Amino acid sequence: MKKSRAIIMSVVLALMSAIILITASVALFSDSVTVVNYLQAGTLDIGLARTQLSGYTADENGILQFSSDLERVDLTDAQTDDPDDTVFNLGAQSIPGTWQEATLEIENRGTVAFDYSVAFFFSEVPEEGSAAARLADKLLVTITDSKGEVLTEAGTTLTDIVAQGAVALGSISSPNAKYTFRLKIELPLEEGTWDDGAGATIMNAALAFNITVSATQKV
Amino acid sequence: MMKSKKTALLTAGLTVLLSAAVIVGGTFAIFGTSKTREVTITTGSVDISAEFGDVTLYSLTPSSTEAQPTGSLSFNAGGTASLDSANGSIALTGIVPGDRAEFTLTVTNTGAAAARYLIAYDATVTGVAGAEDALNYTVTAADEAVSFGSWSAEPLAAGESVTLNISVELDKSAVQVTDGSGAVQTFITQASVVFTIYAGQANASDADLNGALGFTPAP
Repeated sequence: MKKSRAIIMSVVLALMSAIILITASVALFSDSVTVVNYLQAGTLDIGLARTQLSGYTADENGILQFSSDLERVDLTDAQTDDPDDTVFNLGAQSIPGTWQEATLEIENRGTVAFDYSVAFFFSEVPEEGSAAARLADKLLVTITDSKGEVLTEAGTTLTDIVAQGAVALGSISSPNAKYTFRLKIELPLEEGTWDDGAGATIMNAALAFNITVSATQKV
Repeated sequence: MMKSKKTALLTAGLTVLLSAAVIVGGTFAIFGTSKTREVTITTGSVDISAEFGDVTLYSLTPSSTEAQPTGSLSFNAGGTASLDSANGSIALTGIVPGDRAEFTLTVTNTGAAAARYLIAYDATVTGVAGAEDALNYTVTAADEAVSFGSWSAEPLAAGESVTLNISVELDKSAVQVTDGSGAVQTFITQASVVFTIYAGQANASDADLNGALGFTPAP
């Protein structure tokens, strides 16, 4: 009898020991650390400047003259009335054979990496069949990126490039980094075409278009 | 109890929708900037005019073997000269041997651009045999740079003119003829000297200009 009781007691003790062990595992020392994160937004800011403008434009007598202007023109702020505060300055009259190529420099003045592009659009969409519309169909546009790669197909007209929309030029990741790209506009001298000023002429046509360089954060 | 359950479900649904709207709206908040410049382009024009003027008539007189100025638009034997400015023509009618008309043809660049020009002229005479040989005509220019039958080496600036001096004469040695019945035949039934002036932009080559015309102008 005594033997049996002793066995029972020992079983109970064993159970109690187990319970104590389980309780002890919860009571382990613990600690926690909270880290406060401060978020500061970056800035996306670009600078745009024309660093070179070269090509053939007509002088006051309508004779094509070559010129190359290396004066830096800052295009970052809103456009002013200064006739040179623009990408191209084609003068009072353009004739077939006129062309200009502008070298533009884009600078990352902020802290955010960005992709940039260029788009052409008409200030006022020329009326269909008008001399201005015909001129837009004649003007050739060439876009060359910072690596020297021509991004437009041969024969791309102003009308084409307006319809195409923004053309991606590349990316800038580092603050203060600068890249240059080139835009060219040309009124080609067409062989075998006699424009006598009547009918479907482009003589005395006037056309205005905008060039927008856009930057969006790199995603 | 059922009613409050429905309300809870509805609230949950709205929350999900609002969250979705915030997420969609968030995609437009990407950082971006752009710079725009407007470019204006105006084409020039090539246009040319030619106008007869300064008509002086000469006729033989009983007192001179050389034709003398008549001082009017009539020849001494009754012939006349008439200038039709609207059609750009001058007509000599009823002239007799020894009658001579001198006049000018002023070619003006009325376009906005400088232009190269080509002056071509051709005479046709119908009448009796030998009538063609009896019609003397000369075309000269005071300016030595003016050439005939070829594109001018020097362009004509916008607004500039060159003047041609033209003389047309029925040789005084011309002899009228009769037919077999003895009737006097009209010596010249019709004669004309047609001037054609072509103009093209100053920077184009001869080949480009001829190619645009589609033919090589006859001298």
